[in-house]
Amino acid sequence: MNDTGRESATISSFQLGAVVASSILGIGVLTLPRLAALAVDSGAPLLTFAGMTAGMLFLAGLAWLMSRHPGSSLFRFSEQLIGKAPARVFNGLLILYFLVVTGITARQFGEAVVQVLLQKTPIEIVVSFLILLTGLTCRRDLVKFVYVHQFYLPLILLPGIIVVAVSMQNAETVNLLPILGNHPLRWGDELVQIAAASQIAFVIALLGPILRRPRGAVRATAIGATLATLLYTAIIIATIAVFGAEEVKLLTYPTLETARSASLGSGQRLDALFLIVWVISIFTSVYSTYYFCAYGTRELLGLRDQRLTATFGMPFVFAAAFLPLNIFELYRWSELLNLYGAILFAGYPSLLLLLSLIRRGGKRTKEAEGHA
Amino acid sequence: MRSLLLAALALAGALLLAGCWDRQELEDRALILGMAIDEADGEEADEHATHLAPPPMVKGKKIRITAQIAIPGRVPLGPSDSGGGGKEGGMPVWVVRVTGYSIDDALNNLQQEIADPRSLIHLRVIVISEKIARDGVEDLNDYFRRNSEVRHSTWLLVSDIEAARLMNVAPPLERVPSLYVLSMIEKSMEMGKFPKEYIGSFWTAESSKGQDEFLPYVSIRQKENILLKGIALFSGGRMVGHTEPIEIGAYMAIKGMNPGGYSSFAQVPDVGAIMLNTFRRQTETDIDIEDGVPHISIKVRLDTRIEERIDHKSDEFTASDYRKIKEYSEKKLTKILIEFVQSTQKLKSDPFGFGEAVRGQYPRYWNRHVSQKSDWERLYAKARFDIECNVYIRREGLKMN
Amino acid sequence: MAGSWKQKYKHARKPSSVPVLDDVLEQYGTMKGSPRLDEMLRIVKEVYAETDDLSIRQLRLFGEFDAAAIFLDTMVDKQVINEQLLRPLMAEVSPARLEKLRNRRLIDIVLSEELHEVNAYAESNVVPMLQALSSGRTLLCIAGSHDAIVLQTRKVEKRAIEQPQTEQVIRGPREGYIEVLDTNLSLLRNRLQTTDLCIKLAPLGQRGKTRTAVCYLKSIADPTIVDNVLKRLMHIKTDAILDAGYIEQFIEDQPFSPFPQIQNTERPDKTAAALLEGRVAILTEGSPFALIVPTFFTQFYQTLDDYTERFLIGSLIRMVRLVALVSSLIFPALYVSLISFNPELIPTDFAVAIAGGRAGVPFPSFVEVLIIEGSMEVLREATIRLPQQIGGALSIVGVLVIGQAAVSAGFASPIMIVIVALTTIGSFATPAYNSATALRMLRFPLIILGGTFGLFGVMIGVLFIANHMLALESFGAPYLSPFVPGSWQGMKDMFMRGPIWWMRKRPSHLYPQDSDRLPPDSARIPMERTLHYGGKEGADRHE
Repeated sequence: MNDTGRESATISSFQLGAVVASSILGIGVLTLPRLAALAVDSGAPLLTFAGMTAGMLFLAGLAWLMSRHPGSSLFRFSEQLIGKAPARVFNGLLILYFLVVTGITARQFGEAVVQVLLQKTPIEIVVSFLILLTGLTCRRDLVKFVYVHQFYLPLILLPGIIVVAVSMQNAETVNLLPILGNHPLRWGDELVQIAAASQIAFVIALLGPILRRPRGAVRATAIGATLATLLYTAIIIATIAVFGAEEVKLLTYPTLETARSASLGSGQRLDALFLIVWVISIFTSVYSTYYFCAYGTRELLGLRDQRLTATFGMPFVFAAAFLPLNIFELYRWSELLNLYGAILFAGYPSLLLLLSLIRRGGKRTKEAEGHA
Repeated sequence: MRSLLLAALALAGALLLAGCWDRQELEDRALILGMAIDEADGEEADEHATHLAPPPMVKGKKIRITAQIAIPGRVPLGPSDSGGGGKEGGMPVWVVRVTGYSIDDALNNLQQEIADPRSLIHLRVIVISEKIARDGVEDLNDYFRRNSEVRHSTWLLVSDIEAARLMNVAPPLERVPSLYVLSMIEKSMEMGKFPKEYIGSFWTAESSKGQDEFLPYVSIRQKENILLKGIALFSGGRMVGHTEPIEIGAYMAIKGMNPGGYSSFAQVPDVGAIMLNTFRRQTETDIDIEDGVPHISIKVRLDTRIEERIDHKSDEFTASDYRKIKEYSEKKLTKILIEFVQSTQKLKSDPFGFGEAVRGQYPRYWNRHVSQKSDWERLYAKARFDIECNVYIRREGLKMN
Repeated sequence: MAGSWKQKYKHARKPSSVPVLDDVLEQYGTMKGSPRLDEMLRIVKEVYAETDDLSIRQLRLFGEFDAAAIFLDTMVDKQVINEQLLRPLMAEVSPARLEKLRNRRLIDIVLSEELHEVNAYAESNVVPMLQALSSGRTLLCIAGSHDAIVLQTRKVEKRAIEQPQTEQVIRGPREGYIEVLDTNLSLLRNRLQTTDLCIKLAPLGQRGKTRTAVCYLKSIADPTIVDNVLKRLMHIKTDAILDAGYIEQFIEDQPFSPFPQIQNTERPDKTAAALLEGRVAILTEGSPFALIVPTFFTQFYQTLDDYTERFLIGSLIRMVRLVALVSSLIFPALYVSLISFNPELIPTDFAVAIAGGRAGVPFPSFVEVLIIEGSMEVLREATIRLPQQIGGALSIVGVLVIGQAAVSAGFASPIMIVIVALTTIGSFATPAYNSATALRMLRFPLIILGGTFGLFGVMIGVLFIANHMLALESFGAPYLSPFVPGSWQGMKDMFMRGPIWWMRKRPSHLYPQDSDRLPPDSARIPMERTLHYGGKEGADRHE
């Protein structure tokens, strides 16, 4: 019974930023510090900042593309720009990629839960609960999708900030020196890995039709991505400052250990609490990727809504989650996915943007003028 | 709405299919509150819970674990009645001894002996004997680090006597014995008598290349009293020595840790023996590289108050007396600090983490000279120190002379 | 989609055997009142053949013309009929006047010159006449006239206006609605004495013809919402509206949701406040509750006291209430998961002590919680139905005895009793009964989840609930507004109750036509700073 179709059917720039931030903040919170520390030890915060900023640039490119084609989603304007068939191939690839990412993220989440919280519970149950939660929430329209992100954003930021603030009492500034790292090994490689955290925010490509102010898209995306960047960097600063790079390299979930060593008052373990609240940020990330899949498939197949695809996609996500056989393979999968994803997510929008610029000579489309 | 129904359906299905795998009622867990690790006497037979023949690496190196397990029901809920905790009869904990070749091996043996599943979630104190510590603790810690149940705020202590004896003390102050050890250490931390060195910080120091780990060094006096004897110093992962209690103060002074808690007792010429209590410490550390060795200059500022004076003539204090006390105790305290640092240098143990500071400030120098922990330990032994101690007497209590 | 199966099974439904009132009247169609009085009387007698409280008083108008007053004996104020109808009409008149009466249309003269009753009109069709009769009016039929005069003579017994039982306030108006629609509307009108206030009246229900009023402020309420409300009301095809709750169930957006999407209130002041925000109120005959749409979730924990007290006090109390609301939902589930799954979050000495308290309890904590919470629900339900004097006693005795006995029987641990007490008290602190019940009910799935997956399960459950609430809408307005979608203005009245002069805008997601509550430039009365002699004023004085 959706009776009103006025402002409630569009989203503000603030909401767009919220989608970006809450999508990006996800599984990386738990594992990024180790990745970064392994690459450049105490240079990790800088590396993270740089990587996230690089990711942000590509997101901004995507947002620019969207603001040039207001009123239509990626699936529409890509067909206009590169023709129907190639666009479908690329979009299908994106959907497939996101499907696998959803599964792998859910699996990584499941591993963390099973290792720390529920040792005896089968990981399949944990993962399927997350997928079920996500799949059932994906049946709503785009505006509701945005609502979910907006609602949870404070609940994602808050625990992060609390962990950072509380752990500062154990922080040693000397652990952060030298800022560039003692033995910077692989700046390039890890930069890509970290920038890949931003690719989940690619889901904003769906939001074109409901943007209230398409002109503000670039700014809103940048603000959202900056928020995520700052929180990621802060978490990594806190983790490195508390443990030192050498220790972080040994920890499976450094951020969790930060939460664990940050004790409030009576010295109780806070990591379980942190992990619980962290479920939210995983949920929003998985929700973004899976929504992209469900909505994208619906667009490709020309269905009326995505209830069907959202429901029947769930087994595939589940299957993807259990492609890697053990935790070591899981890490390799996620690294490879990040790498290929980076190529896909940097290349495809750039191509579209280039074509868009060439075809329309830097001017907005007619639709844009109509909208503005 | 329909999604909610579906969710409910799925939920019900999941619950019917599933048991409650991880459900373990609090009272059905064998909560290990404290644990002591000793060398085994070598007489106990192998339990063979995890192996038939022990791996050759560990052969002949058995350890004995003494665990304190809380007995539900012995500790009354709520403030105890007039009778106190002893009324119920017996200790509220159950002390179990097992042996094994490693921690996990021993704990598996333990599990063979007790009904409830062991749980380390409330493990608060681990005591290891000096002998174990001198053999190296890295392998012991491996289990604790891997296990997600162990909290970072657990205390790891080294005892100069058999560690198991600490599990048997039952002081009247606390209902649960190992909680007494815990509260003793934590309170001395709050009073400024010991640095905040949980097992988590120990692990961090263990893995960092520019800092050596250290642990509280405890002992037992008069059967039931636990004494904080000093700091157990480590080098290369093994305990190499320990300090005197006042040297804990010296350590905290060099690190500039607050609140201050130690008092120094010294006889000042012409004034008498003065007890000076430090209540605030402030330290500036400056590191240079001179002639290829680190040159560390430390300026310590101590804010103190006079606590006691033992003197046979009770004249008034004069301004010059203050200066005398100040100058004399500065000299005295500087000496303590220098001697403490020198003794750590002799042991090649850097509990202060000066190496980390060198790594941060002189990464080039560090990269050239240090590739593993022992490199820094060698450099540390050669480092030159300039220590200056300023004592400020801020007040003298309610008596005026 | 939902309609398809209804179509399919339609043939299986029996046609209703008793025709509804309208069907009976159908045969009279557009029939005009008969010029012959006895013809009219025949129709009335035929329609009310099985009704014994029909009264027909035959009379002779001005001693000259045959007439009859027809009314339902049980529903009319006989004094009004005596004084306003019979007395003037049966009086003797002068011959000159009688002559005049003969020459003109008698009914016009009676209406305009003789009847001293405001609520009277001429009616010419039979069907409305009969309907008027059944709503307590009196028909005056005059021989030889096509029309009948319809007089409002209804007299319904009603209780006095009292303080609403379900929404008591410490400070604020004490009056509440009663069961009579007219009185309720007068209470509402009294609070909003403006031309803006629109009241649309229509009978609802096929048989009951329950009078229902839709009220809104013309210059504020969004016409789309008003249209939407009217449209949904018109769709209601049921026998009768026995209470506003019937309407609520017919028009709410998501009937399967545990959360109420329409607010009800017994308070005219609350209704007036809602109308001023741009909402629409629905009142119905026979119900002391007004429905307010669209509804946000925030409305369920706001009370009048928040607004009548100063804002600091109001904010504090509201936060207390919010804590209670959350605790009534998740406390038992948290207990279960802490005890059975994550005891590392409990301080060590306390954990050891709890283990002691639970040592004798034979059930897992999750069964223990279900039993105790279940019996608490039973106890609560039992005390609601009991007379007040007994109820109070029983609830105290019940809680004390059951709690104490359960603990000493080793049935439950003492901590459990504390948890149940906190939960129950928490749910009482939520002012709206329906939303408190929703949370109370949702607590049970959460307990089960907590008993299966610990804190993780509770979190997943809470996420399910939150996602569901995010998807809810009430008449096109997002349920979690003003939090999502965000409205800074609205958030001033969400967790805290901002000072009244801060709340310059009406809730934006109601799309009010006039969004400013306060004119943008005015705030409070500027503070008089008479004691300060510095500044500009002082300088002026020096010149």
